[in-house]
Parts: sequence; structure tokens; C-alpha cells
Amino acid sequence: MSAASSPNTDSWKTGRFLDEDLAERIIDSAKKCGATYAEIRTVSNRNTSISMRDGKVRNAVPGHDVGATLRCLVDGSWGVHSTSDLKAIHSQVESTISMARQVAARRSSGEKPVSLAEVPISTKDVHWRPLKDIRDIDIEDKVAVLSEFDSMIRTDERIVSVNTGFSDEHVQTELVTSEGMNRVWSFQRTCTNAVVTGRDDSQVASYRTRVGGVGGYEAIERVDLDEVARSATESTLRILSAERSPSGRMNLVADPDLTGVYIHEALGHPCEADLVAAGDSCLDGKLGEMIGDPLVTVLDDPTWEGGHGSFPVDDEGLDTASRTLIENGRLVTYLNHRETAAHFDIPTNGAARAQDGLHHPLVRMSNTMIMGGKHEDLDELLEDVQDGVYACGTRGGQVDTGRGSFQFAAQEAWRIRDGELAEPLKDVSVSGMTLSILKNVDGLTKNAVLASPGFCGKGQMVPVGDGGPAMRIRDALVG
Amino acid sequence: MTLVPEGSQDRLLEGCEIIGKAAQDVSAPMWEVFAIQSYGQDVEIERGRVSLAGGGGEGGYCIRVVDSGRTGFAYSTTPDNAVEMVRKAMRTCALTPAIEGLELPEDAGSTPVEGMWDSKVDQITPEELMQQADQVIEKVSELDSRAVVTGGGMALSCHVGALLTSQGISSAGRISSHSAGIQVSIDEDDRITSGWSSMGSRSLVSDFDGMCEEGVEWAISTRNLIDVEKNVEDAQVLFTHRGISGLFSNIFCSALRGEKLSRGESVWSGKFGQSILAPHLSLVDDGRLPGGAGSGTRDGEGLPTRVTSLIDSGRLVSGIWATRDAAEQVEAGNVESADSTGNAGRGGHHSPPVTSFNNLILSSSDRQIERESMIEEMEHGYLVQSVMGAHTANPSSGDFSVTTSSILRVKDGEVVGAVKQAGLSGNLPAAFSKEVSLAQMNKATPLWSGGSIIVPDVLLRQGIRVNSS
Repeated sequence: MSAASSPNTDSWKTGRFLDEDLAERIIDSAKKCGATYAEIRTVSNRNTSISMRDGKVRNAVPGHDVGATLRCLVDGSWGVHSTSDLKAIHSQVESTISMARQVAARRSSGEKPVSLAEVPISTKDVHWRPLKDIRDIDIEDKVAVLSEFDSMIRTDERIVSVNTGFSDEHVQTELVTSEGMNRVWSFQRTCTNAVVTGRDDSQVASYRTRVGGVGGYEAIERVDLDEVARSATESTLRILSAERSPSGRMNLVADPDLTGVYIHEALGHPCEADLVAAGDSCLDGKLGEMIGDPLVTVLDDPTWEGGHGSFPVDDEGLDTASRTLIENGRLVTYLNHRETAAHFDIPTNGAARAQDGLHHPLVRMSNTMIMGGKHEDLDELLEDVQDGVYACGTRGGQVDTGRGSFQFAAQEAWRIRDGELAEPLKDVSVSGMTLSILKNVDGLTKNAVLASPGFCGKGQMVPVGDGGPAMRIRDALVG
Repeated sequence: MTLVPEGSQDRLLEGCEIIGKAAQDVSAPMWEVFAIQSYGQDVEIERGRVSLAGGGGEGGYCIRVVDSGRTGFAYSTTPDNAVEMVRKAMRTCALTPAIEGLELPEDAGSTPVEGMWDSKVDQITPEELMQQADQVIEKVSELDSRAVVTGGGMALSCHVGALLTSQGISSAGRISSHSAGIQVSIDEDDRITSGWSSMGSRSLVSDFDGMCEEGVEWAISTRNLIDVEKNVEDAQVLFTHRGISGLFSNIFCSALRGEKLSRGESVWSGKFGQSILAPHLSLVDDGRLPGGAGSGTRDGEGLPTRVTSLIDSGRLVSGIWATRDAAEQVEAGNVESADSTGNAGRGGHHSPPVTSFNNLILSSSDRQIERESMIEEMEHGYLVQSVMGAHTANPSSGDFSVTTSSILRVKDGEVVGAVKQAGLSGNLPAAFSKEVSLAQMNKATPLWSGGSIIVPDVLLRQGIRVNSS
């Protein structure tokens, strides 16, 4: 991620939201009460949210949220307190320690207490400065951009409704720990989205699109919104007249968007070490094993420039870096935070993320990608498919990490006949078992790209990115 | 010691008054200040033991102003920023289009709903909550020694809210809730099977046996895998209330919003007065259900809650509305008239009120029998406890294509075993318009978007394609 210089560097110096001395006193109190580790993480999120329907503003909300979470490790167990009332958090130290002790008292003699992997102690601040700071842009200008985007979409009488949205956020996190970690980091994220609904006789179809990622206002300005609008309109109208999806096992070719969702749902989640440790992952005990075709290399990269799931420092204070999860079909590591790195005795890789200041960190993905293969382009990938489905875009997915089963839905699709795209299809979904499907990948195009921005829910909602090349899977269960 | 500090309601109302005064000072024609403060405790369970305990609170204030049909909104965590909040709300007001006839509602009185607050929830200690988690873990183990609670937890929350408006509404109240959810797994012979169950109440729950039994039952019943002919068939499917709730809420809740119906975005647009479901089915939204997950004395705009008939004996009779959507659609000429049905929902202090369901209740005038009898009557088909991907269903068309690993095969009126994985697809509104039966049991299941839906087990005899290949 490049850190471009800001035209207004002073605006980055907002100061701390939780007084540094108070944070230190809270940590000292926790240590005196018996915490072997304590941290207080404060997150400020200054944001704008605009929604528009058929060219008219529905809501334009400038917002600012601040929350803090105190996390204490006592006798090998966690106690947590989260609040939006920063003034009151000092008074919650004793009760948080007490809760941790009560959890610890329930641990049987055979169970391992929680321990944390050692990490470099940093006091370095990191600020990913955008080219155009969103805080310097008037809300009226943001409304104008969204209004223009909205007007680009309504170009056909069969389009009955267009809902568009704009969101930006400036996130600043402050972390003070009992180990001496004391740092502040910040970044911005900007997105716009549209839901287009078409109607033709009795048929109704909708299509969703979202663009943007980590960055300032330039994250939107660099997007060709006209092309996004044209594509969304065309897709909506195509789905209106598309045929229902065939059902059964068949060859599937997924575009980069759907490839990304597949790799996020089917592989990314089972790779999360907190799920593995909880006995809820089909990848438990498979580190070092071949779990996919040698074609398959997967990485998770929080530093991917412009990625929706990018962040400079994880929520335990570790500098982020790209990590390879599968290398040529072999499972290399789990995504982890300090607790699970210690549990599995593997190197930390900075995957601790919390939704905001009111939640404690879990192991989460960032930008998850399957890397490119050997096929020159989509045409070459389709060439060998006599009968199959080419599926594009995503309406989301879900995974049962323990059983290793997954489901995801495409936005639109085509039947493949004799190596060429034939009639359009709608409501295509794909399901399967992670460990089977990974071995059935038999073709990838060369160029891997980051696809549409997404969000991932695991009790907490965080922005993520995913993507890859176009991917061909044998014998996929299409519904 | 209680979760909610003494005097919380009064303090919230005082904060609302400060912000309201700031609005009056700049001559905002109409304003509405809402405040909420939430307090909670939770206990997480992992791998058969309590793994983490937490607590906390959050909340804040928001203001909506209406000036000549334009609306503006702003929020803050404290009333100390009242002047800045009002300034922001007035500025964003200028960005929205004027909607003719849009006014904030006048006070129309209210009657309390029973069962929304239980002081026992407010008083329970973290240790007592952990003891409940211990009991759940033990109960699961008692039911089957192989079964382990691999995930889930218990949570308590108390919310205090206040609403003050320029139109004479001044109201404050509180609600409590106690909920639990568990994933039960059996890991044996290199195979994991799981069952999920949850429960929730506005009152303190002391008996979690039913939840434990359901989780264990599905972890056991999905172990007995049978060989099925790998094919695609149109089959009868009996969805348990938990199995149908995701699809039902995603598709039906969207389709019955007044603005979606009037704008041509609903699968039932243009069908008022027409038969859209089987003639024995009716659907109401009940904002006054005692102890209901989505019940309240007033809605998010201060209007009294009520019971609204949406589908009566299979015919579409109404959608749900909040004030702004109603005024907007009337002005656009999409409907002749529309008024709020008391369905303005608040997702907190961060956003303006939106049209949302309170408690959506599906009922049948036909004979309703128990699940076991339904299995006997269906003779051949499938029983489905949960589906993956309900959120990927298409709410505009009602089409869905989902996957399940919690599916049992029914032959000759008996469950004969589990299918490892199957795809289910179809069009839900169409399936509910054909041969459909509801079971006797009604259980509230949480609705992800707020409120609750109350749907019993549903047997869909036509319109569902099962792909077991």
C-alpha cells in the first residue's frame, strides 16, 4: 500500500480520543488487580453515509462514533468490557478482572490456559494518507457524485427502481497494552454502490454492484462510474429474460468476483485459527498437507493497494503483511491472532480484527485471493467445456466450516455449450465440500484481480476484499 | 447491583430536552430527538466450556428535523454536542427533496405492552450467567456423552430509550432480553455432525432443556447417512420453523413493505385484493404481542403500535408503512393514500427510522397437526432443519437456491436417515400459494433485521426442487 502525501497533513493530527495518561492508568490498574496482560483499544470512526433512490436523496448522515474495549487476561482467561462512554471505562477494571477469574475457575486441569505469542513491541504510529482526504470534501459534493452515478443507471423504461449509496470512513485506532505497545494508526475507506431493479411483465430482477476500497475520495474518482452504471443496467435487463438455472453436477467457470467469494467462503473461513482451535474447521490437523490441486495458491493480503479489506496494523498492534495460506495446493498456515498463534505454535500473521471499538478482535480475513494460473484468458478456459455454466458476480455465500460445506450464489450466468457462452441463466448457486472442490480446480486464467468490495459477518461485520482469476471447476454442484 | 444505572430514563429524557431546545433555538419547524442506551453481558462457549465473559454499554442521541417536507438527520454519543448536531441536521435537510405532506406524527397516545421488562434480567450477575452456561454445557453432555457445545453463548441486555418531539410526544421506556444459542457437535469416526438451536425472551429464562434437546437431536439424526439416488426431483419438503425462517424473512418481509409494493419492486406489486397465498393462510404484523421480540408501546416515530392484517385468507390486503415512505409514495402518485401503520423501526441512534416489521405471524385456518403427524401424512419427502444461503435468495422475485446439510429423508411416513448435502431451489411465494400445511407449534425465531417472525413448521407439497446429486 502506498502512502501518498496528503494535501492537508495537519488534518491527520486529530489527537487521541482516549487520553494517553488515562489509558496507562487503566492498564496499571488492571496489572495491579492481577492481569498478566491488558490492553485498551480505542477506535474513532468519522464517516459519511448517503443513500439515494431514483435520483433523490433519502438520507445524508455525517457521523462520528468512538468506542473502547478493555481486554484483560487473568489466570489464562479473558475478561472484556466495551463502552462508548470513555469516561467510565476506568471504573470497569475490577469487574472485568473478576469476570476473567470466574472464566478461569471453570477451566479443567487438562485444558490449556490462554497464552499469547510473543510479538515485537511497537510504539510506531502508521497513517495511510489518501490523496484526497474525505474529511476535506463537502457532503454536498459527495451527494453530487452519487446523483450523477444514479442518473447514469436509469436509461431503460424496464428499470423501475435504482437505489444508490455512498459511504466513507476515517478510522483511527489507538492501542495501549501492558507489554508497552502504544501506537496509533489510521486509514480511510470509500465506496459507492447501487441496487438496480428491473421489471418486465411479471418478471422482476435486481442486480447489485459496489466499487471502492481503502483510500480517500480518489478511491471513487478513479472508478469509471459510467461503465459501472452501464454494466449494471445491462445485467439487470439480461437477468429479466434469463432462464432458470439447471440443477446437477457440471463444469463451472467462475469469474474473478465469484472466484473470490468461493475462496473466501470455502477456504478462508476454515483457515481462521480461532475456528480451528474451537474444533469447527475441516482444516483441523491438515497443516502441511496437500488440500488442493497444485494449481491452487491462495494468499490473504491486508496491504493490497485499494483493497476493501486492507488495514495497516491489526487490532493487536502487529504490522500487516501478505501471507500465503495455500502454496501450490499445500496448506501452509492458518490465519491467526496472538492467542491462536501460541495455541498452534505457529508464527503470528496479524489477522486480529474487530468490527469497531465496541468489539474484541477475532481472527478475520482481509483481501483473500487465489493467484493466477496458466490459461491465457477466459476464451481459452471455456474452450474445453462441452457443457457447463459460466457464473459471474455474487449475491453472497455461507459456509459450515466444521463440516466443510459451502454455498454461494451468482448474480448472473450463462450456459456454456461447445466451448462458447450460450443462453443467459438466473439464480445460479453453487455448493459443495471445500476439500473436494479444491482438488477439482483444473484451470485458472493468468490475471488475478481484486473483485467487488464485500463484507463478512462472523458475529462481527468487517469489510473484506477477495478476488482471483477466472477459475474452472470440474463436477461442481450447481442449483 | 443492576445493569441499568438508576435514573437512566430521566437522564436520557433530559438529554433529549437539551437537543430539542437547541432545535427550537434555530427555529427548526419540526424535530424529533431519540436516545437509546444499551447495557449488556455475554458469555461465550467454545469446545465445551466457557471461554470468555464480557460486558459493556453503548448508546447515544439523534435528531431528525423536518422543514417544508425535507428531512435532515444527525447523531452524537452525548447531548453536549446539541448545537453541532442540530446544525448538521439542518444542513443535510437542505440536501433532501421536499416531500409534500410529510410531517412528523402528533401524539396519538399509547397503551403499554405487557411482558417487555423483567427486573430479574437487570439484576443477574456475571457469575449467575456463567452458571447458566455451565448448566447448558452439562445438559448437552447428559443427553449424549459424545455431544459437545462447540460454540455459542448466553447474553443479557437491557435497553433504555427516550423520544421527544416538537409534536408533543414525550416518552421513555425500557426493555430487557435474555438469549442463548448453541452449536452442538458430535465428532466421531472422522466425521463431525452438528445441530444448532437458540432461544430468546424478554424475561429471564431458567429452562434451556428444549434448546439443548433440539441441538443434540439434530447432531445425532444427521449422523445416520443413507445412500440416496443422486438426482434432481420435485419433492415434498417439511421445513422446521427454524429451517423456513431465513427464507421466509428474506423474501416475505421485503415483499410486504408498502413502498416496495407501490414501486413495483415486490413480487406482489399490483396484486392488492388478489389471492397470492393458499386460501387458508393469513399473515399479520403484531406490534403489541406481549413479550414479543419486536413489540413496543410506540414505534420508532412515537406512534402507537397495532395489529396490521397483511394477507387475509390468502389475499393481499396491506403492506407496512412508516411516515416518510407513506408520504413519499403518495406524492409520487404510486398510491392514492397511505399512512403509517406504526412500523417505524429504529436500529439505534446512528440512523433515521425505517419501515420495519414488529412481529410477523403466519397462521392457518386449516387443521394443524404436530410435526410427527405431518411426517406420517407426507409419506415421502424431506425434513429440513436449516439452510445455507437464505440471504442469497432474490427478494424481488422470490426465487431461491440454497444448500442444506441438515436434511432427513422421509419414506413411507418415517424418517429413514440423513442426506449428506442437498440443494433446494424454487420460488417461495409460488410454493406458499399451492399445497401447503402448517404444523401446530409456533415458536418465535429471531429475525436478523430486527423484530421477529413467528412461523411454525411448514410443509410445502409442491414447488421445491431437491438436488441430492
